[in-house]
Parts: sequence; structure tokens; C-alpha cells
Amino acid sequence: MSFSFKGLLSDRVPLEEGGGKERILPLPLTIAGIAIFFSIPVIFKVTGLSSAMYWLEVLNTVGLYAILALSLNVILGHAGMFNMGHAAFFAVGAYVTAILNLTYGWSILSTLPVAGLAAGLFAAIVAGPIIHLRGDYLLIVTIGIVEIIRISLTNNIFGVTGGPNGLMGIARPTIFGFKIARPQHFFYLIWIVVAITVTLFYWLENSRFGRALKFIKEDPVAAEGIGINTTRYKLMAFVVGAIWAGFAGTLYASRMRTISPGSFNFEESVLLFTIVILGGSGSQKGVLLGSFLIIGLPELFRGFQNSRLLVFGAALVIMMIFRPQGLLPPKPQRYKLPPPWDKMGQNGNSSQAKVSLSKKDD
Amino acid sequence: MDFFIQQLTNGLTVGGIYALIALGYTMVYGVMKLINFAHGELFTLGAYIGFTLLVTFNFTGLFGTVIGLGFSVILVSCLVAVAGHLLERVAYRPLRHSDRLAAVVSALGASIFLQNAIMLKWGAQRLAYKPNILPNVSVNIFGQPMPFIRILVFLVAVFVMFGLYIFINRTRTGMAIRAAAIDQGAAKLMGIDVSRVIALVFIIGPALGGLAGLMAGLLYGPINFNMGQIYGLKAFTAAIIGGIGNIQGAMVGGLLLGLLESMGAAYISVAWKDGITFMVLIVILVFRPTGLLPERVAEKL
Amino acid sequence: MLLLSLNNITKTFGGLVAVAGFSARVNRGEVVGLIGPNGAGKTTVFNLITGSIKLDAGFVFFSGHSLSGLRPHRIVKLGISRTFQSIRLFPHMSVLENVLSGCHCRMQSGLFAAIFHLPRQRREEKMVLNNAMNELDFVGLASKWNLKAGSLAYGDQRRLEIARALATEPKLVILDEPAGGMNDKETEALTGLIENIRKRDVTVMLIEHDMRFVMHVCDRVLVMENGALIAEGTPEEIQKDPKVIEAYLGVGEED
Repeated sequence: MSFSFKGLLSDRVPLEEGGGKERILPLPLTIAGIAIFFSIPVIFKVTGLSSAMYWLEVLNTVGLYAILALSLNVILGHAGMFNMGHAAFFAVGAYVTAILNLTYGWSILSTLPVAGLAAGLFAAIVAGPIIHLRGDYLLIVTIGIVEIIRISLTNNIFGVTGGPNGLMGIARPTIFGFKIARPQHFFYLIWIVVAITVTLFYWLENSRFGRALKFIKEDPVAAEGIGINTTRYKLMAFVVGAIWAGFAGTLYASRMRTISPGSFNFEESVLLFTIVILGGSGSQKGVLLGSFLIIGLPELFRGFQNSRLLVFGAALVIMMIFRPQGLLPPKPQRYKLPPPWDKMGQNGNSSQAKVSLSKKDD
Repeated sequence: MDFFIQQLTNGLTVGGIYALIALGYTMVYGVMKLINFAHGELFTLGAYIGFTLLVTFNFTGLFGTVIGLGFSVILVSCLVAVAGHLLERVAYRPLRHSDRLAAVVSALGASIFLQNAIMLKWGAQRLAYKPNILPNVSVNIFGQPMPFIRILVFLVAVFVMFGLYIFINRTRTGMAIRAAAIDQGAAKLMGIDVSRVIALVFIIGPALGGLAGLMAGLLYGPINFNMGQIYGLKAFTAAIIGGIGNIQGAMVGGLLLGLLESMGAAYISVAWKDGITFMVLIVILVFRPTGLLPERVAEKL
Repeated sequence: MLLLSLNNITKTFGGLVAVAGFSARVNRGEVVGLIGPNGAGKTTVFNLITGSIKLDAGFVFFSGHSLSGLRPHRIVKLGISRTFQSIRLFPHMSVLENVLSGCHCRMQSGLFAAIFHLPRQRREEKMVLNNAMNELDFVGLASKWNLKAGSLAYGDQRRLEIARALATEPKLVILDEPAGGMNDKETEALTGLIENIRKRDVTVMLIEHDMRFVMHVCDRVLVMENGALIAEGTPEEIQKDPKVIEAYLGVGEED
């Protein structure tokens, strides 16, 4: 890649300093990494690691949180709306799956779309009137929503939620006659869903829709003034995030087989919020890393049960002081210009700089 | 009728506690535009330090009721104020110019840290203030016997709020706080030391929060290490309902919330008590997006 | 042909009358200047047209539509776009992305097409990148497409704002002090740019303090004082109008 002195000398800073060497890992390494990750259950089996099942469960938990955090990332990271009540949508999905399965005998897989839609519908109803609220007001209202949900579930609303004990005996999912029951089965189910989520949200991010959210986050007044229906896009971001949280609820219910109101409280929402901000708000890589660090890492210190959370709290403060933008903040989106513009340089000089042919990166 | 008066005084008392905590939220938010999530933990800290002084060290037994209690109040306020000041120094000051979200996460981290520090120091099981710390007298109000402690808590809350109101509105320092709340940059240009204002706010707010913790312990007895979370959430709700950044709003919001809660629990359902609180919050914000009393800080477009 | 008509539009801010029964008409293909001393209410008129603030009284009609009560994005879609007096770009995003924000309202693909990366979404994306680059080329910023908008020189930022406004494919573009902060050379280039905008059959309305510039580019000039129209005419007529001279000498506005 040719290096442009012009970019250095002028006060005009190119988006990608150095002109396009932004991929940390080359593509083959990334693919190898993913392949190795997906063969972890096999590796565990071959090596006969004694605590293999435990660590698989940990990875499954990380995966579930990753799905939830990726969906929150659409609302909080891309659209910039302070949603601290994401667990509410998660709860709606999980309870819809549980009720449909237990009361009406639906198979888990067939409850998935209904759980997502129910969570999305719920989001549309509750977010409609509050979407215009400014940052901190939205934050406290979403906390209020998640608390109302928890209290409603505890009080056995409509007589279907089982009260404080919740619902028990939820079935396992079956795919083409194969019953998913063991941790290694769930590992593949959950992490394939993570992969699908990452792909779809990557496309979403790099589209007219995703750009609209970024404009709204950067300056809502300017966005509205240039022709973006800000209210509609904010609401849609909320609904998409909620639908995905609903899907995660289905996975959670069938994995745990028992759900109770305590699993969907304010702390759960705080955890998700923290994953997104600590990892790098708006960056999928960051959010994935955040899920591993916040959900997975503390498991390594199980032995220090008592002081674990103390350290966790202190670590959050320290991280924010030294890296307020998160561990892996989002990189500027790259555009591959169509001809005849593809000969145009990346950073302000049209002749020397070669056009980067690598695909868009997040 | 008796039942109603019972609930009314109940609501005003707990409302006074909410209001005292809410003042800390609202002052910090007014000056720094930050939700101090760790404020609820400072309240818990107040309750626990109070426990150590009044139960473990038996201050009222040693110095007599009035002096012992007075000592405890002063010590609790001072110690929690120091904790608040340290909190600002360590967790918030380095982030003053960072993204708002980073400060929010730092506040959450500080809250988790403090909660667990309290748990490690005093234990995870609940402790209880002894009922005989204050003489068990009752006063008749509207023909209703009213425990003295309830009246005391309410009076102290009102007295403190009134004092703060005078301080904010009538003194030069109070004026500096108000100026910094409206526009930090302009306040700086007018020669106001904004860092000092912030430090001061982080001393007054926690002192009031700690005092509220002590009073909650005296009023109800049992305390536990995560009590600050629900109290903090309620008090912050109160501050928002009143219009955050607005001192009078925090008082009105706190008392209103206390009344709402006790009436809701009495006449609707105990199980839905907290739910009612949050539903009212949502309804108020839908119709008045900046709270009941207007936010003092003008929003810049 | 009449494009925009303002009938008795009025706006009061807490007792202070900013615009008082202002009426004006703009015909298709014109370049109309709106001038007046500071605080005359010029920007408020622009804000009322574009829907950023709501009318207290009066009507705005634009090519057969009443704009009353419409939100800004609807008005952009109908064909009015603007630039801001204090530049309001998305400073942390690239030059190209800023123009893409203008393309948004003319694009079709929605959530579903985006999340499943449908072929029509990809086709549209390609097309719109081409359109955006054309707009950048039009204002002379094509080679800077991948720089951060906030890092551009002041004059370039003003031109980028114009490119962004043009990307909405407007019938009327409203420029609030386009020459503000520009040097002589840049202002001269801007004159050419406005000529080219007119050639695209886009009507232009602008506020500007640089009188030489206004007299040079505008077909017609409206003069405001204290929220009301005090004179209207060709640049030559305006320069001779005693009311205008008085309004300007009264406050010593000379540039």
C-alpha cells in the first residue's frame, strides 16, 4: 500500500491512517480461528479434559449473552439510545416460548418466530411513547420497564407465568428429529446463531438502514433535517433489537428448561449494557470480546467467589478511565466505489494511491 | 380514616428518605450531567456506619440518647461525604471529558465495587438496628399514636431540605453551584472554580445520602448490603419525576413517590407496589418529558 | 412558475416577534437572496420553511403542497433541502457518508432488504455511491471522499454541505450564509457553483452578508428588517432603495 505524505503533511486526516492496512488478522487466519473455535467440543472430547462440560456450559452462556449484546448493540451502539432494559425483551421471548411449549405443546423451534415477534411487538408498544425521551430519561424509563416486567412475572400476570417460581419442564429443541440436549449440542446451536446474528447485523450495519442509525446517533437534528425519519428509524432499531432478544429468550428457555423472574432483572440489563460499552459500542468485534471478558473471564476466578465482583467493579472503572471508547471501538465503514470512481485514491490524492480491493470491513 | 392517616404519615416518612437521597442524584446530575449510580451504595454505607456506631459501639448507651444520636448523625454524614469525595476523585474526575456512556459504566462499576466492599466488610447476611436505640414513645396525631422515630425522620428530612434550599439560593457558594449547573463553560469564564463546585456537590450529596441510610436503619431496623439498589432506583425515579437538576423537584418527587407507594400498597396491592412506582414514572415522562417541575438546565439545541 | 409561497408567516419566541407576517414568493429557476441586518429574522424564515420550527400563523405552500405541520424529513422528501449557518455536517463521518445521508430520502431499500443483503439492495447501494460521487465531483470534492468531514477546511465543509443538500435531489435548495468564512477566491468559486446549480433546474434561496456576492448571483433580492419584508426587487433596484439604505446604515452593516 502506498503511503501518502500528503495525508501526513496536510491537516486533513484520512479516515484510515496509513491508507488501508486495517485488517488485524488476514482472512485465512480468521477462518482458521473460527474453525478452531467450532471444534472446541471435539478437542475437549479427544483430550478428555475433566471439566470439559463445565467449560462448554460457560461458552454457551457467553454465546447467549453475545446474541443479546449484539442485539442491544443495534439499539445502544448504532442508534445511540440508552436502553438499560434489554432483559425485558429477553424475558418476553423466554416466557412466550415456555408458555407455548408447556401449555399448548408447541415444539421449541416453532415457538422461535412467535417469541421474536412477541418481543418485537412489545417493544413497539412500550417504546412508541418514550422514543423521543432524551438519553438519561430513556435510561431510567427502560429500567422501569424491565422492573415492571419482573414484577408482573412474579405476580403471575394473566395466571400463566407461574409466579416467583417461574415455569419448569420446558422441552429441548429438536431439529430434523435430532434432539438438542447435551452441552455440546447447545454449543453448536448457540454459536451458529451467533454467527448468523453477526452476519445479518453486519449487513444491516452496512446499509441505508444502518447508516441512518449512525447519522441519528451523531446528530439527530441534522439527520432529520437532511431527510431521515428519525422517529421511525429509532423505533425500528428498538424493535429489531427486541426481536433478536426474543429469539435469545427461546434459546435460553430451552437450554435451562426452567425460567423464573429473577433471571430477567435490572442487573441482567446492566450486564448487557456493560458488555456493549466496554467492548466498544457499535462494533460487533468489540461486543463479542466484551461477552467473553465479562461473562467468561470471571469464571476463571470462581475460586475467589467473594472478592470477584469487587474486582469486577474496580476493573470497570479502570477500563473506562483508560479506554473510554471501549476495547475495540468501531472502525469507519469502508466503501468500494463503483467505476469510474474506483481509480480514486483513499486519502485525498487521486493518482498514486492504489484503490483498496479488499472487501468492506467493520 | 385511621388507616388513611397511618398510610399518609408512612408515605411522608419514607418519602422524606427518598427525597434526601434524590437530592444527591439531582445535584450531581445538575452539575455533571451524570447519573451517579453509586449513590445508592453511599446510602447503604451510611446505614452500615450508623449500625456500627449505634449498635456495635452503642453510642446512645455511652453518651445518652440525644448526644449519642447527634454524634452518630454527624459522623455518618462526614464519613460518607469523604467516601463520596473519594468516589468522585477516583471514578468520575478522570472521565469528565469523555463520552457520557463511559461515565455511566464507570458509575456502574463503582456501584458494584462499593456494594461488594460493604458485603466483604459487614457480611452478606442482614443486620438489624436494635429497637431500643431511641426511646419507644408515641405522639398522638389526629387521635393516632405515631411512633416518635417516624416524626423525627420526617422533621429531619424537612429541616435538611429547607437548609439546603437556603444554601443553594441564598449564598454565594450556592449561586456558584447553580451557575455551574446551567452552563459549566460560562461559569468557568465568570471565574467559578467548577472543579471545586463538583467536589462540593460530591460532599453534600453523599452526606445527605448517608444520613438517609442512618434514618432508614432507625426507622425499619433490618439493613442489608444491597438495600441501596432499590432505594437508589426509587430516589432517582423521584428526582426524574420532580425534574432532574432541580432541588425543589427532588423534594417534591421524593415525597410524592413515598405517598404514592404507601397508598398504592394500601389500596391497590402490596405486590404491585414497585410496579406502580415505575408505571407512574413512565406516564409522567410520556406526558411531561422533563419531569413535573421544569429542569433548570436549559437544553442547548 | 410559482414554486414557493410564504403567506403572512409569523413566529414569536416568548414575546419576541422574530418573523411578523412575512410574505414572499419564489419562482422556479430563480436565485433569490434574503438580506437584512442581524436579527432581522432571516434564518427564522428558513427554519420555518424547512420545518425545523413550527409556524405560529400563516401558511407555506410549496409546489402544490401545504407544508404546515410537516416534519423536516417530509419537507426534504417534497423537495426542499438546506445548509446551515453554523455548519452542521456529521463531523466524525467521511465526506462520502455525509453525501450519502442526503441520498437517504431518495432510496427505497428498507430493513428487510438490508438485513438479508438482497440483490436489489446491493444494486441500489452501488447506484447511490455513484450518485454521491457525482455530487462530490459537482462541488469539486471528489478526491477527498474518504476524509473525515470534520477535518476539511472551512470552505470545503461549506461546499460539502451543499453537495449533501443537492444529494436529496431538491427542487429548492436553501443556503444559509454559504460564503460565510470563505476567502475571496473561494467566494468566486461559489458564484460559479451557484450558477451550475441553477443550470440543473434547481431553484436557490440564500441568506448572505457579502453584498457583492449577493448582487452578483441573485436575480431577485428580498430585504428584511424586524421580521418583516421592507423591500423587494432586482439587485439594482435594491441598491437604490432608500429604505434599504436606511436599514443598513442604521445598524452599520457594511460587509
